[in-house]
Amino acid sequence: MRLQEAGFTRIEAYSPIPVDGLGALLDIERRPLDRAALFGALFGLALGFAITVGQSVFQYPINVGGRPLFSWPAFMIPAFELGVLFGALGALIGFFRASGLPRLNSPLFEVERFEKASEDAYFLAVFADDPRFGDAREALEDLDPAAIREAQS
Amino acid sequence: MSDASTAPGRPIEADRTLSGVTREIGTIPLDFPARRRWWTAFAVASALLALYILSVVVLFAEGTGVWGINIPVGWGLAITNVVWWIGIGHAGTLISTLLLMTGAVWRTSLNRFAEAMTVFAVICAALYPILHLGRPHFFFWMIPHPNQLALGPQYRSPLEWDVFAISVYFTVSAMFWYQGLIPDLAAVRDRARSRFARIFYGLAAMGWKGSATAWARWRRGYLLIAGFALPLVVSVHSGVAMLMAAGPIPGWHTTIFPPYFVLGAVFFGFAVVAILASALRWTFELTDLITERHMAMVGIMLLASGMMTAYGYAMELFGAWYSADGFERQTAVDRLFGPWAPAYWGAVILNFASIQLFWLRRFRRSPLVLFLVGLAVAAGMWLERYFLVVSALSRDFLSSSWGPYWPSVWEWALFAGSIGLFGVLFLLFARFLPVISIFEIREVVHDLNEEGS
Repeated sequence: MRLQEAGFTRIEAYSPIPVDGLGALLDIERRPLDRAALFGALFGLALGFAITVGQSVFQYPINVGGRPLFSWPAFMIPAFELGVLFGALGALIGFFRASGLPRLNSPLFEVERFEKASEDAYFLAVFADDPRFGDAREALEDLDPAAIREAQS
Repeated sequence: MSDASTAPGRPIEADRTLSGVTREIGTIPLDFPARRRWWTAFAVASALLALYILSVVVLFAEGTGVWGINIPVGWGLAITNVVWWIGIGHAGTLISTLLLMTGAVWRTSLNRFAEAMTVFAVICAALYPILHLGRPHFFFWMIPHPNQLALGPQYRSPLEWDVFAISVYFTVSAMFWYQGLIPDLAAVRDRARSRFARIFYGLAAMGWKGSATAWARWRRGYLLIAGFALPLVVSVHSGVAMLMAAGPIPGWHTTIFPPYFVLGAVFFGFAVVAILASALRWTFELTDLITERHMAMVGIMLLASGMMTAYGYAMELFGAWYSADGFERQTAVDRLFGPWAPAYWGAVILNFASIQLFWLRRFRRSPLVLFLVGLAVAAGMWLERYFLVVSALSRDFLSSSWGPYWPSVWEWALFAGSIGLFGVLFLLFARFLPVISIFEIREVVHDLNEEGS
């Protein structure tokens, strides 16, 4: 990653397939998603347990043949299901937030032939707020690209 | 990816360029080939869907009395069909999640439509208990909410567990399916020419650009949701089995039920995958993407899960004999030689005799054989669910609570109609969305090209 060595920080790559190791190279961590999923799962588990215990023991206690009101093993299944639901929601919402979706407009879509990024072409972008943006054209030309385009936001 | 090089045969036979693959699959939603075959199937499915709507209207107007269910047999076709439909979904989830986590390359041509199959089958399943309520407009009583009746749902009941299990299963499957679709929706969007298609796919793709950040997050999120979806397969169908096993009724009250149901579901879920894979392959001429190797893998899965289900059958009989309980034994005898014998032996022949063909490589690789065996297993598993549900209820401990059950014409109409509902949803999916995961095939092509160079 010669651009990074040259001191560029606001760069991004676009590819038609997930490229192994590219995320690590660009220093993209995956932690936030794991945290969102874990937090969601624990929240769902607690919520499910709270709803079932709250309703069966406190709000609407029904005594059937003197059986215990707090029969917790039976409540684990709704709690488990809600844990799965919120865990998956956490992962999905985490993915949307962390990758900046949904965002329907982008100056990149105006770039000629950018639609090839979903077919067979690879793009490298340097954003204008990069501290070394002024040298971007020169640095990119060193990489011997097929073309260099400038996108107006 | 190691498995691509060691396993016999290449994962796909397609055109070995990334753009060729994108075009081949992307052209289905955009240019709509195979119009005649699609419209023929759609007409049949729509007619069945109309029958479904009619049966539901009759049911709501007249009540569940139009069905053949009675006391003692309160569970008839409706419950048979829930169990049947919900099982179809499980193979889709397993292909998508378990094989994703184990890195099996051959799943790539199958997972997209298998996920769609899961979502639609769960819709068909979930509608049945609601219709069976008799007062479907009170369905929301099953969902915990503050109300003036001073009542909450009975969380100790397996019926209530099912409400949670099926609704969560549907939601998570739909989320997983949609997340997998996003990069492909973007690919279709970038290729769309008409204004409507560009807006439709543009909105659906949510502005996906394929940035390295988004890919990294996408992969992590996809794997996480897969991890969450996998235990759902077990919990959903064992929940359904618990409905039966938790009761004292002979023939149901056995610990083999949860694993037996889960395995049976996986088994004939793969049968439906076999049906759909051969049908899609033929309709859209995708022979180079859904190859004979995919067919063979599905055949092996059918054989393996079918033999495990056969073990369930054996254990059921063993349990009835070993319990030394006269009523349990009577139920087993009724199934083997009594009024349910046609359903029982029909299930054994259709499910287990048919899959023995797959010991031979020649039959595994034939889409036609796979299609026919898939149909046989789907019918056989329906018979199994049917005799399991009905035979136990119609003869339990007291002769005063013995009674026959015959499905009425409206139950059959609703069942046929639900197949139409599934068909319409699936055909719309095949028409408007990429039926095969475009970017995962691109990955496979990319790896093959790397290997070749």
